[in-house]
Amino acid sequence: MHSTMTNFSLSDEELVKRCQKELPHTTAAFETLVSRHTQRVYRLVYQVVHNKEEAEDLTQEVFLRVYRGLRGFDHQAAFTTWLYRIATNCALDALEKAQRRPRQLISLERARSRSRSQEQEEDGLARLASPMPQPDELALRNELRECINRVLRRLDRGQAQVLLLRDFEDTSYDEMTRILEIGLSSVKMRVHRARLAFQQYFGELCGKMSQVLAQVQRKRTEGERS
Amino acid sequence: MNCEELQQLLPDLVDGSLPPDVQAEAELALLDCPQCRRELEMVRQVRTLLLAIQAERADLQVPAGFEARLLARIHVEHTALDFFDLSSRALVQWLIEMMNLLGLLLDPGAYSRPA
Repeated sequence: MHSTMTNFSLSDEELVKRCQKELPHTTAAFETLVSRHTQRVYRLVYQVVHNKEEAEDLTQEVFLRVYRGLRGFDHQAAFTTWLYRIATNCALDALEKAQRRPRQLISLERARSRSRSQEQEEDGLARLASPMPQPDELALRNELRECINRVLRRLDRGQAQVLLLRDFEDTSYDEMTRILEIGLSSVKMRVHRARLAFQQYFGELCGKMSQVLAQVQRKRTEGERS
Repeated sequence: MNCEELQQLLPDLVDGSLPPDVQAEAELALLDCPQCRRELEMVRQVRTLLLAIQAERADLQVPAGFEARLLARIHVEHTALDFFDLSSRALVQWLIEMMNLLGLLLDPGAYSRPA
């Protein structure tokens, strides 16, 4: 208990050194690393799998890889650099595996036409902003997420990685320079190019983004008024 | 500010993180660079859409008991590795003994002959 309390004041790198001395017999330092980073790793992988159980399994997989690799960690890079590389790779591996599974969701076009038949002017994706989605709306949300994942799969892994970090997980550019081990202007340019590629593929696979966004924002405004 | 310089600032324009004077200069330069305007609009849309998706999960929490389950999984893996390690050592020992035994059977006099 005392050692766990003491560990909280240590940096990640100090904790890694402690792990390298103490594992597998004492896990207190490792537990501190886990509790410090679990939430972000979990959120990051959840953005891709959209399922709590799968997200937990993947988060466990990330920390298992960390556990197995700690002995060989050479402190050349920051611990977070290593950790978030493992996490984004696990998330993107899961994305590729999901691609090989048969699709069960409704198609975006069918979702749209069904939605239009119910409410003529209403684009189905606009319902994304609804705080309490109906089953039909949930299917549409899922469809958009699946569509976003299809776009992510079309990107090269480096582009998908920077988008996951910046636009899915809202990682700061400064932190991204440490994770990616490149300069600030290079990070910004990578993010910019990745967004352009995302926009292009979204247009090809999911429809016009400006229309989707306009509907999302309109719905949100309506929700705020009511 | 020319188009090339402006391009470098597009990510900061999306975030609205430029100092006010640079922001004003960039906005002026945008008027003369249709390509930059188009790109800015495209990347803004991506950022906005993905932030909207992200906002849906703002209250997402790791399920309770996660760390305990992770440590249990690690423990199981460790125990399995220890077992495998023990098994492999036992197997090597058994192979050595078998080879000695075979040697003895094939050449019974080898152990009784003086060196």
